[in-house]
Amino acid sequence: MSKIWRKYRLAELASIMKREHKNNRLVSYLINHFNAAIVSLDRIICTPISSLLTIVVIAIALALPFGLAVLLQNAKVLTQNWDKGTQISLYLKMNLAETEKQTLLQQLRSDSNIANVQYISPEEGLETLQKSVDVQGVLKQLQENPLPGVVVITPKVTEPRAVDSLFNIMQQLSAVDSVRLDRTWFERLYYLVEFVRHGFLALLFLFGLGVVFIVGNTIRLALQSSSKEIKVFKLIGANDAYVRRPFLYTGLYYGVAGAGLAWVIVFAAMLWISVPVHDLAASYGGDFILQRLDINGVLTLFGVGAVLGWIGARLAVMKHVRKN
Amino acid sequence: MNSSNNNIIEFRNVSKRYVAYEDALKNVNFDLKLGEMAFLTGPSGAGKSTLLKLIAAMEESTLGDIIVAGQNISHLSRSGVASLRRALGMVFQDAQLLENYTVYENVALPLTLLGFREKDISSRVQPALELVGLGDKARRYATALSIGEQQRVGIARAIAHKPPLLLADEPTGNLDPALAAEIMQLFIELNKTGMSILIATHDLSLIASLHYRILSLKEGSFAS
Ligand SMILES: Nc1ncnc2c1ncn2[C@@H]1O[C@H](COP(=O)(O)OP(=O)(O)O)[C@@H](O)[C@H]1O
Ligand SMILES: [Mg+2]
Repeated sequence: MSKIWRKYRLAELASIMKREHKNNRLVSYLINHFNAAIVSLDRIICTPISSLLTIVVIAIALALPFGLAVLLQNAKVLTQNWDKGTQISLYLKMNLAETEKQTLLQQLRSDSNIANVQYISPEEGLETLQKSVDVQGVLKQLQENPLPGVVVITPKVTEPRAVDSLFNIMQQLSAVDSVRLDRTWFERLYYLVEFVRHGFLALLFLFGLGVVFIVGNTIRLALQSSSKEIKVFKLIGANDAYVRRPFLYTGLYYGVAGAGLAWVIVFAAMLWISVPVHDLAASYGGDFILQRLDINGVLTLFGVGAVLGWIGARLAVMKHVRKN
Repeated sequence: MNSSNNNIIEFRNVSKRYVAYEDALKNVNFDLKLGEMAFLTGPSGAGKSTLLKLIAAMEESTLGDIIVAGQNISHLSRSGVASLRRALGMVFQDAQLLENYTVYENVALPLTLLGFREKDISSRVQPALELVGLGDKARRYATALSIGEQQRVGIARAIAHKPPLLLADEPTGNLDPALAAEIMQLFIELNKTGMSILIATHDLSLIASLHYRILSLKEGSFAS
């Protein structure tokens, strides 16, 4: 045996030990991922009942918060529509000079918090009043028009507190005599929606935690049943990442499949309630179209499912693989 | 350090203690030269398996230094342990095969871990199986084989990537004498290709007629 050859063998061993194998690392990394993805899919298919159960539980856990999210989205559209009717009426002082009035209107029109400004002159007001309350010409006989000029503004902001502060500012205007705002029931609805939104986040957190535990437990069982396999893998020199990878994919698959089923559940539920909602809207003379989970919602649902599944698997694997 | 360049294994005052006051290995010193084949013998409980496990970092030494291919492996990281094992070939007392895998897949595993391409894997697995006389059983499941056959699959798996160093713990323990002699012949052939080999066996009759170095362990020490 030549000395050079001996050196070569030693260098080869040393290089493998230093992880400088000559094969393309990126390619073998991708192949490893592909293999792990296939192996874990196979594992799921090999245990159809328990896999399906896990997926259904994940789906229910995800469908609840996301179903609520769709309802919330609908409520938001509703409040936004109604909000367009929220107006603040500014009753101007009597005997207001024309220039003062113009300055006020200018000021209001340039206010970024105000979407629309409409001026109703005393004459227009009177005309409207005559049309709506026909008091047999009584109003026509008045010597003087008793009505003030009114500016009706539509706030750009929707949040009740912001509307309130706008209301206060309006009250302080020198040209304004009094201000009226009527939106109590809208305010209640707004806060109801806020309440449900917080509920959604709390639910998402709780049920998300649930998903992590479900996946974690399923993966833990899978790890237990393949503990002999894992031992052999490690004896042959598989590193932690290699052993972990198929299980992480399994968690990911569970999460994504659960999200898919959750989507179907939410979709079906929305279909089911769309009929009474449509009837309700029709009874008010509206044509409200029930919103489905939009593309962002669907992507979020799948993203949340995938991440939670992965985290669950990751937690289960972290404890197990370390034990050599 | 010049002399150590030619050693694939070096033990420097190595002791291994599993439980207090009981040394499984006591102050062991030895070298295995590059390309050398040696037998590790001794009665049951002498510490043969322990010594091999230390080389493969399946156990950590309590005292002393172990140098494999010039690298001190006494305090390897987890990934360092994994790459050491990928570099070695190991034959275990019980074959340690993957049960739900075919013979082919079992033998291919170390090659996959090393990142070999699919066609390079198949060009190595089949010859390795032919070498251990199982060329026709590649598609069988590992569990469908006899114990002796499983042991030979384990050997094929250990040598498929042509490791510079092969460790074997009682590789013929589950084989009948004729087959055991055949496997020994296989190790001799592998050694002729330059593979360094360390074989633990308590079967002295098997190696008596062979002219290789014998490292004789007794109660954790080398009898000189
Ligand atoms: N994991 C262990 N825990 C405690 N003692 C062990 C362990 N492994 C081996 N031993 C002890 O170490 C000694 C050497 O064992 P071993 O290396 O298996 O011997 P051999 O392979 O020569 O039969 C024995 O006394 C054995 O009981
Ligand atoms: Mg032993």
